[in-house]
Amino acid sequence: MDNASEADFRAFVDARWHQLGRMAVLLTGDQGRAEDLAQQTLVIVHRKWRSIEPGNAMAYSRAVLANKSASWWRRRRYHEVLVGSPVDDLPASAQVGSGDHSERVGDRDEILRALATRPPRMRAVIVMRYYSGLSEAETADALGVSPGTLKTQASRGLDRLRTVLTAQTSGERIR
Amino acid sequence: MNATKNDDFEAMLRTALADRAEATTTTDSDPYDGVTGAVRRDRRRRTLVGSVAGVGALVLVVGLGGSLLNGAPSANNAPAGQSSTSTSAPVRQSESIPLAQWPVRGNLAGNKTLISAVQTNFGRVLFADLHNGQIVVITAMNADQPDATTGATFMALTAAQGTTFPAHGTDLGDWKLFESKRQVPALLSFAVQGDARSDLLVLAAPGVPSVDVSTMVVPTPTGALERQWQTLPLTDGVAWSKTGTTGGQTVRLRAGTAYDGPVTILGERTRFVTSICMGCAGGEQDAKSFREQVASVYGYDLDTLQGQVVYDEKVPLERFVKQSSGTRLTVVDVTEPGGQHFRGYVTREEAKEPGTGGMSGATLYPLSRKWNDNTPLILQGKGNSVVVVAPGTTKIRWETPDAKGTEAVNATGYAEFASPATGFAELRVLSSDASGNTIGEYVQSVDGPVVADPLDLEP
Repeated sequence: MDNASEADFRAFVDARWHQLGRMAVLLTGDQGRAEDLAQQTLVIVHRKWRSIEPGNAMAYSRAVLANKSASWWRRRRYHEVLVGSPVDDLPASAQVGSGDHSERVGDRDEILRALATRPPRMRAVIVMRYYSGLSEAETADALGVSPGTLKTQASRGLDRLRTVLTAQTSGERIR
Repeated sequence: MNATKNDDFEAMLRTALADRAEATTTTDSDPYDGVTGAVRRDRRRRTLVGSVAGVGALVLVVGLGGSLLNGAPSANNAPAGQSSTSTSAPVRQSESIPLAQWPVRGNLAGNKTLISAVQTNFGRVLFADLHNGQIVVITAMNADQPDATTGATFMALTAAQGTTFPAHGTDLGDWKLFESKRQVPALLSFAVQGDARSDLLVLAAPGVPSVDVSTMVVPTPTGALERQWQTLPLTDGVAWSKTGTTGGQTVRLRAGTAYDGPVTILGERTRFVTSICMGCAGGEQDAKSFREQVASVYGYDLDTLQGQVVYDEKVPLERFVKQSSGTRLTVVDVTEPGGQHFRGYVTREEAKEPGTGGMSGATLYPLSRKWNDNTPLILQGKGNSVVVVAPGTTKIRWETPDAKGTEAVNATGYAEFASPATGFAELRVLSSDASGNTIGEYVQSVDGPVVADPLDLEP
């Protein structure tokens, strides 16, 4: 890569590192793995940098991140243990409260716990749709799946998360 | 749940994700430095064709011995309806009708309800039929305007006869979906679960009279990979056949000069293969898994294969998971009736908490004769080192065009040295016993091309 392209890549990494890291945390549930994943993603982005259209680097990076996350989990799908559930690391301010606020925080905790137990593809769909704010078409394109598959994954994922909340309300815990 | 509750729930989900993300504090003060370091490591690793643990491309290795064909898959591997057999494919011109313009074929092509329901979300239907009590539908998404990089998406949907396709396609219910994303090929194929071997559906342009099929690859005692080709006649550009094994992984198809490559969509294997797992490190499960893999991919009768764990030790391999307590390497030797060895390995990074961690690599396919059971196993070590696993030997000698060295093999059965400047690309390693007799030899330059395409799927 020539110096100008390398400088552009550096600027991109500086600007987007934290954003990719946050998305990776949601996908992996673990800070250390998230940083590994973000770094591996940017290695691939660096490899393809000259062929990525200007302005499309973040979308490409998100796609690589989501797909690498899914393949990473595929390689480790047996007896894999989430080192830290996303909610284990929630700030103290989010774990205390009273009344409606604490109920809603509790609900959010349950949602994150349930999300951590979903298959990696489904987790990626939820994160890209509801954290990154991508449309169904953009998410399908990023993950390399058909819109039909995407809809199925999103629908099943949301249903599962709703079930967890419903069960919590009725006193039952689902794992 | 009504619309308001849906909106509430989705808002709560967005808040939960945003809160969690905001609570994250990434630690790298200069991320660019970290990334460029990883880029350098990646470049080095990419020169180590096929031998690197952690890239998931692994090797089951075939060794020297008697004829592989003794007791090997002698079951009839010819496709149904074959008209000739040869070791090279005759050139056959494919019709020029592009895939995006193929008509819908199959006996369910006229089922407007099914075709319409599938096309709502799964692309244009190219084929719909009943096969052995199963509905099989093949579709293509964006085949008329494929992405320059990723191509188009091809899908196979299957369900038991009589199963209704969901009207909106948001929940497939009892339907199974198999996908493949690739550049648009001149012919499509789908390997689906069959009886003893998998069934193979081939679709070409309507005017194409036949294609050439090689259903399996045979590693020979000389180290070469051999294929036999048969001609498969097509009717209206369609044919059903059988694979040579219990999956479609080894099948290669040709349509003249228009296509030469693997099966487009792989469905379920006909024979179950136990997956290699994290929690069964060093156990019989690995031997079982590799035996089943060899039987499935090469068509052996499972009962004729012997499998045993021949190495199971912690070795200082490159780590991919932070806070791991080390990597355990397990090597399995599978012997077929003719005495050939298929060697496979799996590497597992163990986390500090007992029973947790992750798999960082595993081999699947046999390679050349150079990889016999005495050949040293060469892996990427920690800190840009080379780890040579050669149990039963006392010393290894290595050389590249620019450097050479000698290392002692320790009590655990491995030696380690700093990676030479040329990486693994031109590395030669000899292992020897206490008397100086050569026990095994590793020559990457010979094995490399085979490692890159272990099943000989690409021209």
